[in-house]
Parts: sequence; structure tokens; C-alpha cells
Amino acid sequence: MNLRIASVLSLAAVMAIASAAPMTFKVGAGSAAQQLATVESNTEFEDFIGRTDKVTGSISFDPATRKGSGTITVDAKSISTGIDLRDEHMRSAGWMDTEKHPTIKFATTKVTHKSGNTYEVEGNLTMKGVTKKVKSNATVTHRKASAATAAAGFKGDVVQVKTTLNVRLSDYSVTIPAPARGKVAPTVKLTLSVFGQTGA
Amino acid sequence: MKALSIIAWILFALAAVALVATVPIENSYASKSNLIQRVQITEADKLFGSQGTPVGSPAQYIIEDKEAFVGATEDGVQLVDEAYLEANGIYPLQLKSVEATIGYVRIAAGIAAFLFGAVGILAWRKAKTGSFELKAPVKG
Repeated sequence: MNLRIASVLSLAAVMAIASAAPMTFKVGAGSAAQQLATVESNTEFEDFIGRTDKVTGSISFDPATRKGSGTITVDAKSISTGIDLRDEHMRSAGWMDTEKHPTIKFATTKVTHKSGNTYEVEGNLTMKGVTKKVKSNATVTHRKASAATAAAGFKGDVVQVKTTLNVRLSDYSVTIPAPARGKVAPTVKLTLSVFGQTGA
Repeated sequence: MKALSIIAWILFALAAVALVATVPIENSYASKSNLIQRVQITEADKLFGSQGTPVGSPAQYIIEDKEAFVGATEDGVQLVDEAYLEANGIYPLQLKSVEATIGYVRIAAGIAAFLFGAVGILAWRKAKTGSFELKAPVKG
């Protein structure tokens, strides 16, 4: 009898440990339209927003311990501002040089739970071949696999991650040419709003 | 010289009209603008209880196509469907861009009005007296 109780307790403990293990969420595996990366420039003359849904990556997250990490890659070549000529300029060698540096990558180095769904995230942002340490707040929301997650087009558990990074362009060797000064902000907001799913 | 005076006064009048006209034009655009948040709407919104994923920050936009509007937040920010804008080739006009452009027009029209007014006065004097000289007042 004691052996039976011990076995059940051991099994329960193993299951608890297993359920507390971090899960790996694949970003970009589901509907591409659900992923969003935006670059926002605010000046006195105008605001403009560049956006793409070509965002991929991997997020490791443990909902029980609220610990995690992740890497997100944005296809810089596909960022569109709604004006073709501006997009051409933005991709050119003088700006983002997307031929040589086609992606923007963010990899976390430290994630600290603050409260609720809010986390403090530290990481490395690589843009135009330059990597800098950045720090920001992120919201991470987890949904267990259910009929609702399936109806939304996801397979398995789902995690939504939202964060905004303030990016000083000069830190990443992006110089604003004289004709564009005043129309492009020296510091832009890079916002990531991504979904990851555990299913393939 | 009389012809120059007439042309200068006509251009002065046009510049003055342009300067004055900027006021109702600016007011008209301002009245049509709304505080708008562009949103990307997907199947995941219901799952995470949102009205769409924000695309950029809220700003004063002038969007006249009512079908682009998909709701509002509790604090009155109008939500506009980014996919609808894209599908219909609508690049939303920003009030701040309109105001900045009107500001430049005002400066240009103000300078033009001043210059054409000055030319008009000088040409009128020349036509009347045959001289541009500004005579000092005669004392005693």
C-alpha cells in the first residue's frame, strides 16, 4: 500500500516538474498576418510607420515560474511605410542597407517578472550589423491549447509577446541624410507584437 | 511704372488672400480629423481580448472613408482597420502634416505680401513723382 502511495506521489511530482518545464513557442509558424513588427518615427512635420508581418523566432516560456527567453528576427527588407519611394530609400545602403543586412534581430539575455503579465526584458538588438544592449518592458500572455486557440488558427499553447524598444538610429550606423532631416526622427520606436505556438 | 505698380498690387492682393484663406482651410481639416489608432485585426484578437493590434501610436488623422472605422476605445480613440486602408490604397493624412504645410504657406504668403506691397508702394510713388527718393522732412 505504502509503495502504491509513494508511486502515485512520485508520478505526481514528475508531472508537476514536467508541467513547470519551459515550453518552446515557435513565432511565425501560424498565420503570418498575426505577427507584427513596426518602426515608428515621430517628428513635428509627420509621423510614419513602417510595418511587416515577416517576423520569426523562438520563445521559451514557463507559465508556472514566469521565466523565459527568446529570439525574434524581423525581415527588414519587407518593412513597408506605405510609400514606395520612401521604402526604397529606407532599404538603400545609406540607410538600412538591407541587401547586406536583411534582418533585425532581438535576443533576450535576461527576463525578469515584474507584475501580472509584465516583464522587464534585457537583450541584444542587432541592426545593420551593429549589436547593442537594450532594455524594455514586455507583456507576455499565455493561453493553453483549447478550442478557442484552435479557432484563432493556432496549434498547441499560444503565447503573445508585446514590447517596444526605443532605437537611436545613429547607434546602429544609420545616418539621416540632409534632405530627410526633420522628417525622420533620430530615435524611432521598434514595436514587436508576436504570437508563438507550441504546435508545428 | 504704373503697370508695375498694378501688377505688384495684384500680387499683393493674391498673397493676402492666400494668407487669409489658410485659416478656414486649416479649420476645415482640423474639424475633419479624429484621434485615430490604426489597428491590425486578426483571429487572435478575440483570444487575447483585444480590439486589434495597434500599428503605431494614436495620432490626429484625416480619414473620410467611414468604412475604415471599426470601433473606438473607452477613452474615445477611433480605431481604423489597417488592412482596409492598405486594400483601398488609403494613405492616412495627418493633421500635423497639414498644419506644417499651412505654416509654410503662411510664411511664404506673408513674405510675398510684404515684398509685393513694398514694390507696389515704391512703383506707385515713382509713377506719381518720377522718383524713388524718400525725402527727409523739412525742418522749420
